Amino acid sequence: MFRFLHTADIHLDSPLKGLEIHEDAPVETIRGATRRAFDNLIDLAIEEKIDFVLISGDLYDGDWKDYNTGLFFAGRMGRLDKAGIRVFIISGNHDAASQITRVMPLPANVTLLSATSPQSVKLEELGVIIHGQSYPSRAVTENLVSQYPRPDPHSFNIGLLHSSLTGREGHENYAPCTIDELKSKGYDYWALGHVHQREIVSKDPWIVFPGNIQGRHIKETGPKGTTLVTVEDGQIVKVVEHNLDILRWAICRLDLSECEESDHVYEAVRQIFLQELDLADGKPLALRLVLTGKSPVHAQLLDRTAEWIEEFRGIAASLGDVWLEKVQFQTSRKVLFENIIGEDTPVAGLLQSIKTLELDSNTLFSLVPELNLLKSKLPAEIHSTSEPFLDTSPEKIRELRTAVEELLTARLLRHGGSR
Amino acid sequence: MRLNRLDLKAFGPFTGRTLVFDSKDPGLHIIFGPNEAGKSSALRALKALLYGFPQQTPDNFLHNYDQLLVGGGLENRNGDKIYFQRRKKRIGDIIDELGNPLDSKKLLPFLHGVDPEVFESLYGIDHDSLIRGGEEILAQKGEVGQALFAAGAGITSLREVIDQLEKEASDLFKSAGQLPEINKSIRRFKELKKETKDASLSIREWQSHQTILKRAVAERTSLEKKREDRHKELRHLERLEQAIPELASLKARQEQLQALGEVIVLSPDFEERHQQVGQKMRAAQSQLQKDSDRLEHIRKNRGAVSFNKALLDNTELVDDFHQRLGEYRKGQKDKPQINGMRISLRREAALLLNQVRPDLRLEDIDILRPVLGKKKTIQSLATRYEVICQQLKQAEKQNKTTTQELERTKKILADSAKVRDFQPLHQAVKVARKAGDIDSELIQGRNEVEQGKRECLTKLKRSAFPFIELTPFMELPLPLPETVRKFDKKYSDLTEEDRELEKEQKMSEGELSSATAEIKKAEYGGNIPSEEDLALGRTKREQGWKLLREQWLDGKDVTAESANYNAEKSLPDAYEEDVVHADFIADRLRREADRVAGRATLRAQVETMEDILGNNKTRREALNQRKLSLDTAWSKTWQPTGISPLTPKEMGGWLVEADKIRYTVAEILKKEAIIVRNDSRRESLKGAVLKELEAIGFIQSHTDDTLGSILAFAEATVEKLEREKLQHGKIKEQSEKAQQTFNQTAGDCTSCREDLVKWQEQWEEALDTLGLTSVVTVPEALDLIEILQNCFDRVKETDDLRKRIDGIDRDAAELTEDVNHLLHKVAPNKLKLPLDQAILQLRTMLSHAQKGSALSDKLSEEFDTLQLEVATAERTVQIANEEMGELLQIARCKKPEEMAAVITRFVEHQRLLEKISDTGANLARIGLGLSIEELSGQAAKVNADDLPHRFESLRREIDERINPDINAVSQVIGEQTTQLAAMDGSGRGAEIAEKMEQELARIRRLAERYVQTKLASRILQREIERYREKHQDPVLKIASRYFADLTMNSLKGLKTDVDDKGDPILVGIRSDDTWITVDGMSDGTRDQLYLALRLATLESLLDKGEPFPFIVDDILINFDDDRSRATLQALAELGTKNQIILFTHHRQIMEEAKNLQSSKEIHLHDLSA
Repeated sequence: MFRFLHTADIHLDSPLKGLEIHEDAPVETIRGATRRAFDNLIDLAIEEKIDFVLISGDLYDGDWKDYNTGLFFAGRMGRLDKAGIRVFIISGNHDAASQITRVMPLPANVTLLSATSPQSVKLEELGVIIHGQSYPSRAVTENLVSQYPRPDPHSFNIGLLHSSLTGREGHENYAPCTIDELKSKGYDYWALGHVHQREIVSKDPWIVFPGNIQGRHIKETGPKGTTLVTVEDGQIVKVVEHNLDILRWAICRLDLSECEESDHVYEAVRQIFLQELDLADGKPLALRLVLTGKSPVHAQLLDRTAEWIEEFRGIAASLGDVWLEKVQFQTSRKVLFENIIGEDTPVAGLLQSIKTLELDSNTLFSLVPELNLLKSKLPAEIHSTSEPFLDTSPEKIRELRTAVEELLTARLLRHGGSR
Repeated sequence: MRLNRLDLKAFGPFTGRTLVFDSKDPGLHIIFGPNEAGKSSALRALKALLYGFPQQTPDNFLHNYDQLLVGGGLENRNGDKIYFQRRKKRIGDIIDELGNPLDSKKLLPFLHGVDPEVFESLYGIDHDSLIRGGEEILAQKGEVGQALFAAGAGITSLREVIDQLEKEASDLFKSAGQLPEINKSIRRFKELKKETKDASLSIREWQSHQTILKRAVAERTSLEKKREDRHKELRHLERLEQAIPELASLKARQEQLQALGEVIVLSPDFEERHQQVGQKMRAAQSQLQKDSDRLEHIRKNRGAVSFNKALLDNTELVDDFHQRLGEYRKGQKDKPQINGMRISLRREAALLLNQVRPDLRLEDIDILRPVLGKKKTIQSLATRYEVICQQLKQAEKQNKTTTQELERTKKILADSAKVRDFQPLHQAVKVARKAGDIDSELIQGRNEVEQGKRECLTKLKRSAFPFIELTPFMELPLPLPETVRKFDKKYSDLTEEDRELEKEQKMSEGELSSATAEIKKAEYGGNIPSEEDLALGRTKREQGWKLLREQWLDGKDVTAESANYNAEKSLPDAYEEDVVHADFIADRLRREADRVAGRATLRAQVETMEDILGNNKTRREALNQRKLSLDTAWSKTWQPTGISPLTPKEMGGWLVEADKIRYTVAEILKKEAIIVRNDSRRESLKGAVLKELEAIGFIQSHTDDTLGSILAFAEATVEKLEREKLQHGKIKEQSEKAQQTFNQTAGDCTSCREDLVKWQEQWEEALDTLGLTSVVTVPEALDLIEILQNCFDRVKETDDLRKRIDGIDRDAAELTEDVNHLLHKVAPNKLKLPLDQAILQLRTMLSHAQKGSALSDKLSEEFDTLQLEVATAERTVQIANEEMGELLQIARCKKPEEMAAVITRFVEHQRLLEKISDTGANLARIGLGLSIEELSGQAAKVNADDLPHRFESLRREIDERINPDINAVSQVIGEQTTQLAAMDGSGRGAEIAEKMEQELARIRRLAERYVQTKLASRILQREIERYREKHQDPVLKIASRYFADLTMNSLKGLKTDVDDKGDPILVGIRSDDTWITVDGMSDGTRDQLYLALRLATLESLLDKGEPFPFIVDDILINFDDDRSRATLQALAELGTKNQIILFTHHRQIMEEAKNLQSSKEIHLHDLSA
């Protein structure tokens, strides 16, 4: 009997994105989250007396250049070495881009599989053979699996592969291959990496994406961790997920159609926060709150978003380790405006103008020339790959349109009535 | 949409109040409510009807939240109508007329989903917004676009909206600012970026440190090896330097040894032994000579010494005598003194005995000795006697005290009264108490009955039919309410019928008169043309047509005929005239035919109306008859009561009132019955308590008959008796205790007395042996015993002294005999001397003999010692001679004189060998294992003179070149190692990167907000301009009209002009066609300008969509009468097209409106009526 941990996409030391600091934010509890999650992995391996650990690529983050990260990693590998645990790594697209990978001397217990051709390592005492190939360059578009060797009939065969198979949303399609191809290889376990979401692709043979060990932005929600595999007499008898994450990401959608006034909203928000906390295994939470529904408080919400956000943050703070990542106001009026006011009232005309206004990057900048100045002052990092700033995709333009529309209506109506 | 009615069913001060707006045109409706009459409530009710109740409302002071209810009827442009009601509920607040829930979607065709906000801004105006609107126009200097847009959207402060947006944007970001949020954030971000660079470790840096370290370590290793080589060479040369002189001296010694030739080998200590033996021989010979001389001398002295031997043998005896002589002399001296003391003691003893037993002699004293044996017993009996006496005294004293106490308590017990049983009384009181405060209940009940009766009577007196007594009122056979209602119905039916008949009569009369008038009118209409006239006209026309046809188609000359036909006109003109004439007649015939027929119809109508009127009259008479009989029946119904009734409606009301009073009276009577019951119950309780009181002898005369006072007295009595009982118990207990104590003390007395008797017996027995005749007291007995003891002590001392005198005499005799015996043996010549002289002489003689003996012994001992010493000396001389002989043999000498030369050569030889060996050892040490031959070989190769120079150069190389190099390299290694150790995989860089991301998130949010606000501001401004372009002309045209109306033509209208910047602005036109800008206008005029724009927008919208009621809340407060009138007129004007509801609490406005009513359609609703 032997047991191993399968993990991937650690992106050591890559920072959590999109969490804006504010007064009640639980800064300390999330500090160094990827490191601490990695420490959790090491602790788990030692406590559980694991036989070996597999890292299926993207140990480092491509953009990250601080060599301290490598030193930290080497130190942790040292701990595993002392505990007699071997580690097998293939490098992924991020590692291929990282200089740390190339330079870092690895302790004796760590094996980085070759990048030039598939490499197999046999563990005689366990009856295991591990096949895998590291990425030679950042973007590997050819099928790597086809070159992987035939299975050793007398051993338990594990394949390490950094790939999104036939493609997974939000992940570049590197080292493509089909599930059937993997199945036909005759290996016992495919330890995949690259896709950050946990997924058991197949159980015969086992093809597993363990997901990353710590969500790093709002698109990586839910529990994160590693997969512990137990093998007895050459058969997999148990595959268990172990959560390692320090901070959990979650998106809460809250329908406010039944809320008539602010107190109802606060209570509803409190309740949904509590529900999320219940689901988070007692870990700190980074929450995105999305308010939806045709709501009676729609106008109040849009009129003073900043104050509402403050209130929601207060609620979050009162519940302990909750970090409100963002509040998206996506409620709508009970009745659509344009049906109401006729065509020739100023507000109706205004709304119509906003609707028909052509908005792309050119018109936007010519309409509001100040944006050029703003853009020139903003740091380049604001244009992250996942969420470019001043995105002119139809979806973002729609959001912007709605925001402006609601902002103006709220202001104009507030100054209209006798309130 | 317009509002048809508003039902204030339960809202604010209203209950079941209805406002009806069912005017023909939409109309201007003025709702007047002076202060507190609910103007504001009505306005809120209207909003509540349309949009539901707000969470908090001040309109619940009369009706609770769950009772609040408003209803209303709406009608839209298509003529659809709806009636619905609104409750204050979150869900299901809309209900229909019957209270069934109504789907809110049903309201959609009427409200069109207009939000409350939109409703309030677009379709509402109050005094504040009017003023603010005016101010805003001034602030914008009459800028057309903003004024139109603001008025169009019902916005009072558009500028504020734009300013706020711009301010928000500039608070977020300025291209050159430091303080705006985004600028600050960007700065922080840059700082963090720099920090992260400092905190992170580049790979190149780490690698370069590693490389430098490795290189330095290698270099240090090679340098250290080089230094070791130099050290080795240096050590080699040093060895040679030391070895060269040693090798030279070795060589010289070996040559000296060679020169010494053959040497006799002696033992190393030979020379010393030789010297020792010589010395020994000389010392022994001189000692032998000295000892022999001294031996001869001692032998002569010893022969001359003599002494008394016999005396010497008895030395111990003489010493013993001398000692005993001291005792002898003391005895002789003490003897007389002791004898004196003995006699005196004996006398004292005799005296003491005499005190005790004068009858006895001292010699017989021993018969008293047993008394002393009982001394202890007597003493203890004496002590015991004191104790017994003390106890007895104590017991008697206590006995006396307790006897007194016993008597006292017995007396009190005898005096105290008998305890009475008060339990039955207590029980009765408890029962009475349980019944509660009957007294107060009675008083209160009676008061209530009294009060109730009074109130009922008052009410009755105040009612339509006053009664003085309740009983007759209660017994009145009042008719049933149902009966009254029936009558009411009948009466109202009659009234209704009557009203209808009257209406019919009026209508018929009206129709009759109008028909009569028509007939008259027709009669005045003049002649009616006949059929003959028509035929004639037609014939003439045909004639003309014939001629014309002949001329036109056949080309015939018809001049003559035509002249005949009509002389005055040409043929075509004449024909045309005839055609017209004929048609005219035909038309008139047709028209007049109507008139003819009409006249007939009118006549018939007149007759019918007259019939109807006749019929109507008959029916009215019959109706009056029926009314009279109903009156009779009504009065009859009330006859038994003796009341002459009012109308059934009033009597119905009175009946309800009477019923209420009757109910109240019945309640009062019930209460009276309870009072009677309570009174009897109180009497019985009182009786029970009084009975029990008497039974235990407490008879109390009561001035007060309340149960309370009797109960209070009874309770006081019970309490008193309880106290008495408690007291009695306490005394009894004390008495019993006293009896007990008395018994105990009496017992104590008896036992003490018994003890005393027993003691007396023991005492007498103890004193019996003393043989005293008279009885003695205890102290006396003790004294006698003490004296007797003294007497015995004296007798014993006398006996002791007697024995000592006998001893002294015996010792003196023994000494004399012993001395004489010795004198016989050693010095018979001294026998005659007295004893002490003889002893002293013997001692002197002994001392002489002892001295002589000691001298003789000393000499003999010395002689023996010397003899031994002589023998020893002779032996020593012999041994020394033998040793010398042996030494000569070893040194192969014949004579002792040859010995010195042999020894000297041997010593020299030995010294050389030693030196050579030392040098060899030195060389071995220096050579570190090299043989002497190898060393000499190496030494031969170097030049000794060069050595210092070579040392110097080697040392210099090590010290000045190699060592500094090593130090430098070591320092590098140290530095690199330290730096590498500091590269510990710290997470600081990552932490700062995290902070950067947090800052970035902030920047992103703020920047997005900036984009929104900036874009919003731009779009709004663009839209204002667009709106102006589109609406300026039509809206301004209408506004101009309203403005003229509102200012009563002091300004004729509005126009646009451009300001200095070329922006279009609003100006007013004076009556003399000059222009006035907005800043030249008064505040009031500007308010009217704003109002004119609002009304104009409203009017311009009418064609385009569903209208909505315009709600005007008291905007006329500050207008003077003329302007108020002008405004009302303007509103009434608009009211013909759009419903306007004006709320006011100024009666002035109402009056003004009434005056205008004749000329304008204005509807008044007075909430205070």
